[in-house]
Amino acid sequence: MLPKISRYFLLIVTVITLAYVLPSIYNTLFDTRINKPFITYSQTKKDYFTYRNVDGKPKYFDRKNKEYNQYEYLDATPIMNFHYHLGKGTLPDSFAGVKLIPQQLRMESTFQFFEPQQLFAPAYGLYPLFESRPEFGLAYPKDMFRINRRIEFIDAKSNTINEEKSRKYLEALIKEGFHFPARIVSGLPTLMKSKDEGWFLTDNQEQLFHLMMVKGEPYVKHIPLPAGVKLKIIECNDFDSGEYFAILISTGNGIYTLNKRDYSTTRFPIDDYVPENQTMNIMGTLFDKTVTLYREDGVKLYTVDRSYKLVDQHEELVPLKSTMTIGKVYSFLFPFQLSLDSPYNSFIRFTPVKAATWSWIILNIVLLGITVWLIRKEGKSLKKSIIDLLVVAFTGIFGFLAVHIIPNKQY
Amino acid sequence: MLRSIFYKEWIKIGKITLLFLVLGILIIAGIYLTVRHDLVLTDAEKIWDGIVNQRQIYFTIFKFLPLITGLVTGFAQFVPETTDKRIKLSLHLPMNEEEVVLKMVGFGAITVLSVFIIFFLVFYAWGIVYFPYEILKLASLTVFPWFLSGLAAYFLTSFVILEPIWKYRILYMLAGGAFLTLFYKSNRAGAYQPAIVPLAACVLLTSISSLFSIYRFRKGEM
Repeated sequence: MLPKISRYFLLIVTVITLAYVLPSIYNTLFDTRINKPFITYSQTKKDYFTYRNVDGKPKYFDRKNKEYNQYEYLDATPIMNFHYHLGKGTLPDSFAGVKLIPQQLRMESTFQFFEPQQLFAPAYGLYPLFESRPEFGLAYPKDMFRINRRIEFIDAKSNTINEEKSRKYLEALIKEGFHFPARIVSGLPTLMKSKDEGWFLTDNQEQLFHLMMVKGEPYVKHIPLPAGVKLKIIECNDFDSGEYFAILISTGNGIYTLNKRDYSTTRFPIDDYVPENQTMNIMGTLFDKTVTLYREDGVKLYTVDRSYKLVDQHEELVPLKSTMTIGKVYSFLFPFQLSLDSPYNSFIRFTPVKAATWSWIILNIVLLGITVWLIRKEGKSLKKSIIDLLVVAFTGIFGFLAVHIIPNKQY
Repeated sequence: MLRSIFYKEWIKIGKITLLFLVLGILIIAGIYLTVRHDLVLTDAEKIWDGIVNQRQIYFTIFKFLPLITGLVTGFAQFVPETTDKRIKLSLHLPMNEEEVVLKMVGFGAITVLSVFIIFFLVFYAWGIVYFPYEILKLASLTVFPWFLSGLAAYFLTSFVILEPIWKYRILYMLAGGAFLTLFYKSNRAGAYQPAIVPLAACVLLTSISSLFSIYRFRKGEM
């Protein structure tokens, strides 16, 4: 009995292995690149321009699919591509009644993105608290803090807790109404920034706080959020424009800016962002911001003006792999796939992904027929092979290979 | 009888086990002496920053040691059994054949597991001197799949070696090799956290695989 059980155990492991390995090999051999279109907004033309590579040459198309060469595109987007026009001396003096000052254009030119892998990623839970108003430039702190039941600063050299500093920050946080432990801790833990703005934290009661070290002393500020808003993501930036500290994503997937001038929040008029499976980028200029949402089946853009009113929007669809030949053959071969890694997740996770269509049933039936034929040819009992037949019927090519790699000899 | 089986198995794998135990401890010592050296020569916070924010893994040299330990232990234990079909002697002992094989594999698995536990304890206990538990927690979650791959390698090696027919040995090696790649799909610390339990379950499923090879051997497959 035990040897038979051991065979079934081996069948399970082999099916799991093949369900990962075979689709991976198939994708390695036959995968095709689907270019997500790069789309920019033109303030002067009030139109979106899509970049496509046509016969190895960059071509741009407006919403009416009119073709532009690279020079025409650059002329149509003087604000977005002001560097090019500065170099050529073709930057307009003003636009929409606003004088175009190169330094201001540079400061207001911002780019920020957030991808699903950042949401699902292993984290250490240790954070460096920089001196935010240093005398002689940013320096990496000698300690890192953890913020669980209390805040603790751990000195890196001695690997011991700095009790005095920890107590000082604990008192400052409690005084401002912080309830431990922290849920979200977001900042820029790098020296590659122009200035430090500390950390933004949410506490156990979903309240938002700003934590900094100013001249060695704690600075803690409770930031009021709009009624009913709970945060899922805080993504900080280091923009010269000084407009907002961070992008906030609520649990309802609302996108907000956390403004520097008064810690207020401003919501983008966007309701279809899903951070779990879409990449978002926000491109800002002196005149507007364009939010691009990259989905599996397309790209959607929203452009808002300086007061976050919707100016324009645009959507382009891309072909899904499942509708292409590679996807159709894939669905025919594999009834499912065992996914370990994912573009939406930094963790390794056993995730069964079912085929996009039901065409695999044909191959499963054929393989089942071949298995029955082979069993009869070898003079084995069908009754004693019922589990093997079920494995082939349900797992298709994976089970077919597994039952033949691990043979069912009937002694 | 049990003591005699264990003694026989220990004769085969004792030296190799001690060799890998010493090798592993030397590698771990090398890892932490390097960490200590770096902490003396550079700023400690920069080393922490490298690990926490730059995704550096300070113990990558350890990555394939458990796998090699499992493979070599399996070889050392079962190749002598298949040479001149000596396993027949064990199968003719006055006890159930499956029990004999399970005890042989069990002894080897406990030996490999004991070596891994010692590796892990030394790795963790030495690490906590230099790093906070957050770093050791993710480091542990990173090395767990490597240890699991070592155990799986041991079970699969015994399964392959005891298989009597070369054609199937090659097929098992291909399938087993593909299975072992599942343990090395990410270079990010802690990435395997959600996969550890399913992987451990798969390793458990392979643990009695030798019974299938022995069953085929006993039935006269050549």
